[in-house]
Amino acid sequence: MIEVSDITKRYGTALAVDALTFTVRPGHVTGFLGPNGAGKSTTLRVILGLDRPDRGEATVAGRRFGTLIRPLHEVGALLDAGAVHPGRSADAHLRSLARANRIGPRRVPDLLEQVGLEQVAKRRVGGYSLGMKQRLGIAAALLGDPAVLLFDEPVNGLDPEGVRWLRELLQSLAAEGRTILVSSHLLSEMAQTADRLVVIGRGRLIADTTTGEFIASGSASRIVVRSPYAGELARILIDRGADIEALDDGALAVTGLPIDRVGHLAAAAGLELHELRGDHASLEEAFMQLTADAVEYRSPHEEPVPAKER
Amino acid sequence: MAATITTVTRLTAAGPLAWFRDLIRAETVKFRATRSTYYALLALVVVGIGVSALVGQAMAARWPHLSPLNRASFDPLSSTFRGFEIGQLIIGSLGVLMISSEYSSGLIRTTFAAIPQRRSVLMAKAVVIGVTSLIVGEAAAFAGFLVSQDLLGPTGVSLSISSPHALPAVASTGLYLAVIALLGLALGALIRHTPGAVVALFALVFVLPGVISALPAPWDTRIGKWLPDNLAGQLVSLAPNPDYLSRTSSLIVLLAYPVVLLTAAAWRLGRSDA
Repeated sequence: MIEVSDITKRYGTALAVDALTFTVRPGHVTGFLGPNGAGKSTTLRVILGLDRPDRGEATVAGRRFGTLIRPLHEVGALLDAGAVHPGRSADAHLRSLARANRIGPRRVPDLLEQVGLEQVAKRRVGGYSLGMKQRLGIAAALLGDPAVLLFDEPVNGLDPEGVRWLRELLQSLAAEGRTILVSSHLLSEMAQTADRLVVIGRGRLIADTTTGEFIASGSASRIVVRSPYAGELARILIDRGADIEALDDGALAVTGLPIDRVGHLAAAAGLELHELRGDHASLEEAFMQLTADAVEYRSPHEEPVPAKER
Repeated sequence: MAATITTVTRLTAAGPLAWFRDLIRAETVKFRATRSTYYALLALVVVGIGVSALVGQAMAARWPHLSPLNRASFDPLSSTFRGFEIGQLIIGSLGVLMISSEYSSGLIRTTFAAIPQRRSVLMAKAVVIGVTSLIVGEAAAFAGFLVSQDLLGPTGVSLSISSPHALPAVASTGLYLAVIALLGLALGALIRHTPGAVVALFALVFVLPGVISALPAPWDTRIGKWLPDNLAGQLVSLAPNPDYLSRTSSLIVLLAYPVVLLTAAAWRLGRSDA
């Protein structure tokens, strides 16, 4: 369980995370989704106690990360695949982390084998490909067999086989009852991996829902109908089992009825229509739409704050 | 939650002392798994002993041609340790790299995500680099002394390890190298940038003494006596400068340097983002 409550984080005058609140539950792969610069990495750093929020608090299993002793047994994280000393071997890197957390030394070769790095374990990490570094980062996250795992853009640099491997790994970890938070800027990737989504844009929460619902709300075909008799039309459609949402420009968004049925019902009631069209937003479009809205609705008057030391 | 499948050997949980020992072991693993560690320690030994030997040899060669005044002003003890004036930069840079390399590679975030107790991480690093540089420094200083004094033999002013002040001077040199290594670590943690921290260290131990000594009296000694280089000079000279601090005070001030800077570094680590 990861709880993020009302976190705000500024770097100088730039607002990275803005009053963000969400909860990540065990037993699911939760996708942490947002465009580049949305505040995903900042949020993960706050959860891991690396950055101090200006307001709010994040807890893992009910405790602030900074208070954990030997935290790898409870929380594992892949933050940045490059975050390894290039002159050291994968083996030395993991042994050092294991030492600090009282993890038995047998675990290191086992994990290196599990992530497919056993052949290069003694080689310097500086010569690794990005995909190999990602695998090393994943091994580091798994080192203490933690119940909570955070991965920041783990798919970057993995080949298709690696992506499939990672997806299966994440899902099996979640099936074991662990709490998995995986950040990505690719909705298409998350749609295949995550069963829950936390979506942010410009540091603010846009959606916290199941992947199914997010896709349904954003991309399932809906019908947009415009009529001077919108209220009457809406009543008729709701009577026939449709879900109606009033759009800003006065049109109605209709789901739950096929388009020909909507046209027929309007004609039968003698209601004049000015527009009737199917609206097929793709996943990415829905995502862009949602995050673009987040930008628009952002408070336009940010108070300047004194430059703070980073 | 995840207790159902546990392949991890959780060694017996232990007290804070065992915990800190684990941190030291973790830092030792990193320290030993880096080539620059060996290069730096080897360079310290070679430069420290080698330059001291060259100084001894050169002095022995010039000795017959020196005036009595020049002979009288020659300090056969402090000249033994000339090589460590360069050696201190090598070991100091190793101290800097101990933490600055973690910032430049991003490893520091992995480290702090595995050990959120940042000040303890710094202290564990201090123990590893401090103890290593003390042992290697003492050994190199001792070897440098023996080689250099042997080469000074023909001058007739050479010293043995049982001569007055010889042993304390050798011991102080090793200690001084450990102090400089710790200053490097502290500067690395404060500045978080390898070249910046190395330049700061270079300025403190190399440039500043020259600049201060050029100040008009009495400011040259009033300020100069507090600089690490001059403090060390008091400890390794047969005839300490009477305008500077006493040997005992010099030792205390010298040891206070890493304490103060590491405290500042720990404070900065605790309050700023990683």
